[in-house]
Amino acid sequence: MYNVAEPCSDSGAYVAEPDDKTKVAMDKVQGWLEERGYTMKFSSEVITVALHPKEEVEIGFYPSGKLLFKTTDKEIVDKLFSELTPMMEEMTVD
Amino acid sequence: MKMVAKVVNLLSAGIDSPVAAHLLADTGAEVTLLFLDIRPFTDDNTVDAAHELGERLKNLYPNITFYRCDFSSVEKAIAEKADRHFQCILCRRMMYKAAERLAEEIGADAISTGESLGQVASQTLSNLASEDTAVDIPVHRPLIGLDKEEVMRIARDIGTYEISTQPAVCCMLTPDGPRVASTVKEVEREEEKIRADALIERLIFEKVGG
Repeated sequence: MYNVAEPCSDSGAYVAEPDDKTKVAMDKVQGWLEERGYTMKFSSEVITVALHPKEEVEIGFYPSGKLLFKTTDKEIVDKLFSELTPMMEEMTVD
Repeated sequence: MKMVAKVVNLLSAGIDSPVAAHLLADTGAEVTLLFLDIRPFTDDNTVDAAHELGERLKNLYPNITFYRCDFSSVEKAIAEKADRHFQCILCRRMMYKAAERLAEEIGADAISTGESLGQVASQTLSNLASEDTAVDIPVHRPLIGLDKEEVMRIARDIGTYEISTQPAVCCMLTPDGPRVASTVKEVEREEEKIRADALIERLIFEKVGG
């Protein structure tokens, strides 16, 4: 389960993190994003940065399950949070 | 005979590095600002703020020059190949190397940064010492003994505080557990993995404004 998305320390983005220590399969996350039309800005085992196909917002995906939304628009963040956190929970590995 | 010290100051969009540039320029040093653009690991607001800071400092000290450099190739290599616990120290060392390369190109005597002790997890004495060994050129840290309150006061005085505190995305590559102590040998091993010298060699520095 995820906490709500909160503004990051520099207030230019929102961050959502899982309650518990998590490890996410980054290759599966990347595949999921590509299938749904995200533009991949960068992919590696430590971070994936992708542009949402409709909202023009870049999102950072981390192996710890953390999500970083590069926008200050809370309404969009809430929408993306609902869209992405179930996927991240599904991609969790033991 | 050369009388004026020429220094390349690493400029971020944060509070500290513009203050470091100001303190150096105030002594009469000829300061060249270098901003390293790490997008997509930050955002456009950060880049805009750095440019605004450059303009502000140039207004205060007309002999200041400003360069920017696309540093994303270096950050991507770090994210792809390096041990994630060393990312911060490695990133700093690579920034030093970039500043040193620009210093060689423009004939500067030293590089400088806005670092001080203990403000962030990676700014420990051992990490600062590891950073210094990345370059042959002298590294100046005008803020080393100042506390954050003092730095913020100076930033307000010179009109950079408001620019530095605009909303912006912090570095997205910061790992959950950065190394607070590292040996030179460990960090150099990571540099070999990313082929650090070749990356630095390929950087292109663009002069901003007149």
